[in-house]
Amino acid sequence: MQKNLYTINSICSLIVLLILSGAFFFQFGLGEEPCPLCLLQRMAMLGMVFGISLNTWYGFKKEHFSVVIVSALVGVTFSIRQVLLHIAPVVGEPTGYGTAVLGMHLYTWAALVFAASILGSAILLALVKEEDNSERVPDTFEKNVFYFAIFICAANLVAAFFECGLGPCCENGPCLIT
Amino acid sequence: MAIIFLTYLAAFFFILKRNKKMAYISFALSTILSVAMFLYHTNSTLNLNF
Repeated sequence: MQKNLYTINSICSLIVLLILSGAFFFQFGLGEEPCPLCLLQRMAMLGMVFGISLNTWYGFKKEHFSVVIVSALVGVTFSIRQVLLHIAPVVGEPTGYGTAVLGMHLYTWAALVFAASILGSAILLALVKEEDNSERVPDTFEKNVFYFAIFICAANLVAAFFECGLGPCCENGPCLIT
Repeated sequence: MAIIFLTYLAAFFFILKRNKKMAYISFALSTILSVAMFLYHTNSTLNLNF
């Protein structure tokens, strides 16, 4: 049972990472530059993956789930802020920001992902048996998911650096303070 | 923004190096930085609200 829960834990991480990969498709495949709030939402998703990865390498502990929940709450704050910014369409202008997927924009999907993560954490917390195992050895699948997380984080770092440098991102690249 | 991603990357590397304390510190730092950046976005004159 516990072994299956570790696999489910890594599958949850993989789902978030695939969503972050989808964001790269919009960025590089469709040529849509990520908005500043979108980048912040990506960071919150990486925070959730970090919490899940702690479970993978140190065993299930409630502190690790609190990392996931805190990151999800931070992320849902970012995404709801963006939803509210675009909730009232201006006549003659396109509704929302960016391309809609299945009728909803990416920041709306992100809000749902963060909410689902809180629900998922609650369910796993109810099912897992806590263990403090700092020497836990993840299996091959779990390790590969973790290395994929490092790759996605590094790819975001490089993409953000070449888009905006070290500072905040403005509409067409780095913010030029005049 | 790239700096915040760098702190998240550091957090992942500290997990790999089995240094849980530093991983938590990196995570806390990156979360605080991202919230600070969000607050900066809400009232910046650079028009970052999109």
